[in-house]
Parts: sequence; C-alpha cells; structure tokens
Amino acid sequence: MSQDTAFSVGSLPRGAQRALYNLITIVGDNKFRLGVRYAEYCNAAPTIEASIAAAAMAQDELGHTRNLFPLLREFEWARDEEEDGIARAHYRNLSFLDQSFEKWADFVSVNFLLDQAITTILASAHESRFTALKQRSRKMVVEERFHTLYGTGWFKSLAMAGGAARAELEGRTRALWDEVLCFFGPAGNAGLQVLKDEDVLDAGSEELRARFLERVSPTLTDVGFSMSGGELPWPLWDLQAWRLNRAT
Amino acid sequence: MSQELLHPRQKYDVFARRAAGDPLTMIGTIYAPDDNLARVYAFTTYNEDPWYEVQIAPHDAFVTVSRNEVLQVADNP
Repeated sequence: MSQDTAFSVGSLPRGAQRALYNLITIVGDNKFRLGVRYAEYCNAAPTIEASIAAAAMAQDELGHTRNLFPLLREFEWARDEEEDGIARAHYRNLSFLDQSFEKWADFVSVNFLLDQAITTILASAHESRFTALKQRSRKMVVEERFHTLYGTGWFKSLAMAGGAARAELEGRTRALWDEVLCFFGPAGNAGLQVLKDEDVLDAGSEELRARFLERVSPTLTDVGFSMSGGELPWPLWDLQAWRLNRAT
Repeated sequence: MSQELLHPRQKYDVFARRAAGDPLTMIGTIYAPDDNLARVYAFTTYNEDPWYEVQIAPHDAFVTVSRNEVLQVADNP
C-alpha cells in the first residue's frame, strides 16, 4: 500500500518504476557504504571533535539508508528481491567505497564530493509527486548541511595547509572526480529522464551534474584546484552496477 | 599534517538554552580551526539534548571582569 494517497508507485509506467527502484537502491547503497566508511573514523580523525563529527555523520548516513529502503516495499513486483535492502551480497556503490579509506585525505575528498553529489540528487526530489520520497529527501538534505560544512571546512583546511597535505588531497580528489561526475549518469540517461518526466525528480542527468558542479566549484576555485573538464570515461561506466569498472 | 590542523589552538566556548526564556548556559568547549568547523563540532559534540538554541564564541573574545583587573585598568587607563 502506498504511503501517499495521491500517488502510488504502481501507477507509474513499468520503466519508471524500475528507474525509481534503481534510484532508491543506488542512493541507499552509497549512503550505507559512506556511513560505514565514516564510522571507521569515529576514533581516527585528526582531532577528537572531528572524530565525534565523523561518528555523527556515520549515524546520519546509516539512518538515511534505514529511511530509504522501506520505500522499496512500495514496489509490488520487487518484494521477493529485497527484504530490507541491507542484507544483500552486493551493493551498488561507487568503486572507491569498496575499501576502507587509507588516509584522512580520502575521507575528506569523499565527504566533500560524494556527499554533495548524493545531496544534489536528493534535493531534486524536493517537489516530487512521490510524497514519501519528497518528505524523506527534505529531511535528509537539511541534515546533510552539516556534512557539507564539515567536508568543505576540512577540504579548505587541507588544501590551504600546503605541502604533503595539499598534494594528497589534490591527488585523491582527481582520482575520485570522474566517477563522481559519472554518478549522475550519461547525458540523457533514460532512467533519470523518465523520473523527471514523471515529476519524481525535477532534473535529468546533465542538469544534476551541472547543479553539483555549481555546488563544489566555488570551493575548488578558492583552493586553486583546476579539475578536468574533459570527456568522462563512459566506456568504463557500468550501467547495471552504477559505478566505474576499474578492472577493465 | 600541520600542527594547527592536528591541534587547533582556537578554543570556542559553547552555550545553550533548553527552552525559550531559559538562561544561556555554558555547556562546554571545543577546539576548531575556524568558525564553520566550530559550528559542526559544537552541534555534534553537544547534541545530547534537543537544545532550543546553541551559541559559540571564541574563548579569546571574552573579557575577564574581576576586582583586581578593574583596579588595574583604572590605574593604567
């Protein structure tokens, strides 16, 4: 039974249902993995205050996952595929979340880039006609404001510190950059486009990517990081797993 | 990593009130390199209560008021 009397997932065309299902699992899986990675720094950040904040962000991300996955119960045809969305063998997360972060610069660059990328997508559901997603996305985006403050603050601090700290951060940021930009899908991606057409999101792939760049560019400019504006590695992008296939 | 990043020297005092009209009470301190990270740290470190309002201020911004110091200022205007 839909939680929204004005909208039911079942009223969407099958292609839109599949796209919405994919969106929820991709956002949920990346938040879940992000939460796990953040949690690994609950006693390992450079200061105790930074560790406490990392723990709080981990709690936020895992809580967001917990809020998103029950939406999958709206999909009648998928009830046999997922129980609660967590207990699965495979997650559809970006490749750099597979392993624990090696250095603090990993944490900061992922916090700065991926956290804001996911938030960009969630913000595009603020007027969604899928009310259950709209309500959740609004709450999550409010909570993510602290993550942005934290990520941006540390990103600037490391970059301005110069030396090895800046070099490590710049190296990690460049290593993540293409995959994070690919996270919004290829231009004209059918799944996101149909969600826009159905008023579930208010933007497609290119618009979401542009909004993300608008969010992060001021900080990148402030610290003097000039990121590649070249062709994204779409031949390596796995549309099923929604991640770069780095083994290819 | 620089010492300032590892051990920020800037100390902030954290104040909060539980409800509108309650006195603003000091609830602790945090160390942060700038105001924005101080906001995050204050929020996450002292979020055990649903505060009505939380304020932070650089510890150095406070001016000590004591009899001796008032007299000292008076003697050296």
